[in-house]
Amino acid sequence: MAGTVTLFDPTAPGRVESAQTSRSMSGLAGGVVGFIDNAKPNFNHLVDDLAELLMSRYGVVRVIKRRKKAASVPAPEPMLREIADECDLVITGSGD
Amino acid sequence: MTICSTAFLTLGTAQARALGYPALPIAVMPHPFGNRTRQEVRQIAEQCVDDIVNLVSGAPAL
Amino acid sequence: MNAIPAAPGAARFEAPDDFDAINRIYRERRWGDGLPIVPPTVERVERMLAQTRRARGDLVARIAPGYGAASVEHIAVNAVLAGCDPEYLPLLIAATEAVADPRFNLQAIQATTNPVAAWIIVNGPAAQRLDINSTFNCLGQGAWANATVGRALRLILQNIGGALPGEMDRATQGQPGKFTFCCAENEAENPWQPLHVERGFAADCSTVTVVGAEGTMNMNTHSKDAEELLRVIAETMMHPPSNEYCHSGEPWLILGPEHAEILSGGGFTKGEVKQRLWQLSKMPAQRMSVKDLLRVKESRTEELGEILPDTLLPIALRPEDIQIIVAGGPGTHSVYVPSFGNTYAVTREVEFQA
Repeated sequence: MAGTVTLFDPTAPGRVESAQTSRSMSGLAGGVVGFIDNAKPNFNHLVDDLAELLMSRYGVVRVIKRRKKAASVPAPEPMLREIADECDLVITGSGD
Repeated sequence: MTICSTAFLTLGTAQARALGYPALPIAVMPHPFGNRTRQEVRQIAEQCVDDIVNLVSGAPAL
Repeated sequence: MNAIPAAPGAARFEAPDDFDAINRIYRERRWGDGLPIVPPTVERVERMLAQTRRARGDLVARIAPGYGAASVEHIAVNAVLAGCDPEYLPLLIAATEAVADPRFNLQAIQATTNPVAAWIIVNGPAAQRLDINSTFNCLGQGAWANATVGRALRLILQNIGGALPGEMDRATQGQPGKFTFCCAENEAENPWQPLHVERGFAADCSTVTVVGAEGTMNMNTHSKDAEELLRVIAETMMHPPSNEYCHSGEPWLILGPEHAEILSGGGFTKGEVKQRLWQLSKMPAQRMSVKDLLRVKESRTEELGEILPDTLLPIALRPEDIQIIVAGGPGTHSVYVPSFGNTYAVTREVEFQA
């Protein structure tokens, strides 16, 4: 019967701090919604439709649409700042 | 919050957790999305908009 | 100098002292790449750590997409798993730093559906010192250092970065280079400056360069004419479903020594080769699919102005973005290595203990 041996776990912990969680909103009426389009096909159309529906059905007063150059690059800092400053809710596209 | 297709939900949830936002609301659309017609995108948007509102209001999405 | 941040060490656990049982555990926990691993015992990890001056708890980098903290110890553990000789550790510390440089765009590289792998190129005295193959079959099997160093970086990306296939690693097919992808430059047969010197390092300095490589496309040509050789290489680079033409990229060429000699003998400097290839590989936008052309417009209008069907798309922003190394043995082969597109190679000096 074999004895035991001490081995290492090759994985590493991720970030431990829990960042601020998103605010729960009671509704979108009167709010400003921002979109960061990841430039994947059709997402621009989805953004147009969602913007219209959010305004006509849920009382959203304004929609800000911004687009990244490609899905594989981060959104530029000024875009993030602008949209974070102006919006109550920000919706991004991820993957396809 | 973010929107992704079914094929990217595993990545979306894992990524949100890795960045310290385990409770990030994620609205999910059918995959593949990029090849839908304009009309189909509209139908998906109709469903998606209700999911978005439910998710950010703290109520479970349908 | 700023203090080096500390990272938690690797967790330890007890396991049956049996090779098959240990491999079962690593397999079940998805801590491997599909091949058997070398058990990372305390003794083996200590032997590895003795090869660096850095403290085991130093944080080398955080690895996307899981942002796991890669301590020197974690890197050593993964190097043992991969079968590395202890002497390879400094190379892996430098490679880990390099992939985490924002210019490399590791977040996208790790999580994408693209098959992109991290290719390691070694330059300088380290190549000889560690017996890293730069000649016959340098990207193939047979050399211990090439095989295990490339494998170790993949395990670091997967285990510390958290990019498990099907989970955070979304690669549609992936590629064999995701098991291992490492070679040295054949500096002895390079008629021009070696890569690390071109990138600002001293010739006697050892470096690793990491490249986000989509794959390898072999070019077998018996041409002995420099102009003709450049033309057929450029025509290989031109392909419509390309991330490079879509976003402007950093395409790589591995010139076999015979091809390098023909180009150099034809009077071309490395810079002139790049310039000529950049011109010759411009591709009419209409060769792309309609959907892809929309992506090109999103990505490159700022760079190129209005993009029309007959616009000629350069493969890279600037000729100097085309990257060239000389590697391989005798033969009429060179290799085009398309890059992921939104990535730039990063070079780091390797710090040996003595």
